[in-house]
Amino acid sequence: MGIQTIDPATLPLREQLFVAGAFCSVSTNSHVLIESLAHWKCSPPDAPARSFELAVRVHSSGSGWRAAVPHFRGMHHLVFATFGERDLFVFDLLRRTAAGVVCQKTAEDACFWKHLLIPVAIGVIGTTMGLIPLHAACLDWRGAGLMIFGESEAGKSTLAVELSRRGFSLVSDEWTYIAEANSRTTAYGITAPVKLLADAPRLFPELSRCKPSKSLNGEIAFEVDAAQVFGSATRSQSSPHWLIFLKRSERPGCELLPYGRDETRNFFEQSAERLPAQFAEIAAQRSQTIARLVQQDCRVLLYGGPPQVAADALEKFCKGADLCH
Amino acid sequence: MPLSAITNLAQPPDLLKRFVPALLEMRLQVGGVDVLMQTNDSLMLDAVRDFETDSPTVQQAFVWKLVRDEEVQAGPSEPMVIQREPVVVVSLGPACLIGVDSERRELLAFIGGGIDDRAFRSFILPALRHLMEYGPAAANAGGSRLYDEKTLDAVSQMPIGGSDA
Repeated sequence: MGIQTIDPATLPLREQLFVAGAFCSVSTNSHVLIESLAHWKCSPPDAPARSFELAVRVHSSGSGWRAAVPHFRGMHHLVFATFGERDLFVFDLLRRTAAGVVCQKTAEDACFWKHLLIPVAIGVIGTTMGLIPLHAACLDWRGAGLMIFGESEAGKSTLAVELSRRGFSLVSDEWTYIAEANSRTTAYGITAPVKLLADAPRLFPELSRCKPSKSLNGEIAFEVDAAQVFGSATRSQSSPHWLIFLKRSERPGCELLPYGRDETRNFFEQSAERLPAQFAEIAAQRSQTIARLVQQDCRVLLYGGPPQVAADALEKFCKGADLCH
Repeated sequence: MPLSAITNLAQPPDLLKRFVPALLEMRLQVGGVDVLMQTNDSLMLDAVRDFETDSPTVQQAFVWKLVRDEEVQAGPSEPMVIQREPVVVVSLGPACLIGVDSERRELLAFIGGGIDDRAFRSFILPALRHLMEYGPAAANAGGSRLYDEKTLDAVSQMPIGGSDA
């Protein structure tokens, strides 16, 4: 395949994207790729607070195999990603650039960009722009953000879909990106599809007309557009108001208990990605954003029984809250 | 109740292998460049030591950080080289990922367990030297772009040994 120069000056096509609160300047040689990224297209900003560059050359020397699992490695300010035989990216965290070469087949694959490359780019470079990725679902109720934390299979996505059927708007189901600007904290989603496990049709009959497939981590799951399948309202952002940590319980029923801000803050600090030494200033800014985030209402939701039990409790709690903010 | 009891996210894994200790350290000269080499693999350290040249220093010092990545046992794939100046990346698939930042004078590499000492000495080391000596900054100064072809020549002679696809 030879040497691929990824110089934006030699890539004639340009597009501007807005993803999770950040502007992304795309340059490429492929109209097909521009179409694959159309989901995030926006007008060029005047003075973007958060921005990065994505330069992609699409080569024509045939398509290679796609790896079952992408391979990532990072050292200092560089992160390498290989997605298959002919798809290679380098993310430069200091210069906020992502440069890569992909085959034609990958350029055409809108799912690759929507579910993988763009979320990865935001996850890797976002931190350097003040975007903090948090493993949480996020919903919006009348402008107030409900963030739901919990380990994999705790039921975040199920609860998020169930609440979206009860009038909440869905911002994200798995990864939420927190940013601060003008003393305001904002939670952003990436409009990735909602991922529900193979037994989800028991709870959501709408899924009976969908087919589960193997997801990136090897799980068999439904990955669906919540707006299309469930008629969910969606939003790209919200203002965090409640931080809820899900915990399954053996006992039937539900308890929503207040949780300490210091403990919550410590948890976020400890679970945040370690950054190389040259990003000490960014790590300090991240701590400030976390400190502001935990000023919101932090709670633990202990529940036993079907997810509707937890949804009942959260619906009542959020809809009954005084939202004069 | 600690939140660590609720989720298992309290200790994020080092998924990118950013913090693999590279405690073996050596200063040497490679092709007129003072190199500070850091690695976690004594065999690679020996190989670079044998590669040392004794010539007057003509370029600013470089840091080489070479991490032996034992998690990757796959053999090398077809080489790919991408340049986004001042960074050049050479990939042989997960088996070998090399990034050179000529502005910061850093050469960073993950060398998989599937690349043995002979292949490292015969193919990878010459490529590292080309990347360092003829990287973008040097090429710009001298008006030469030969460095990328030389690098590709070096690695493309390596037998391709399957993939983890």
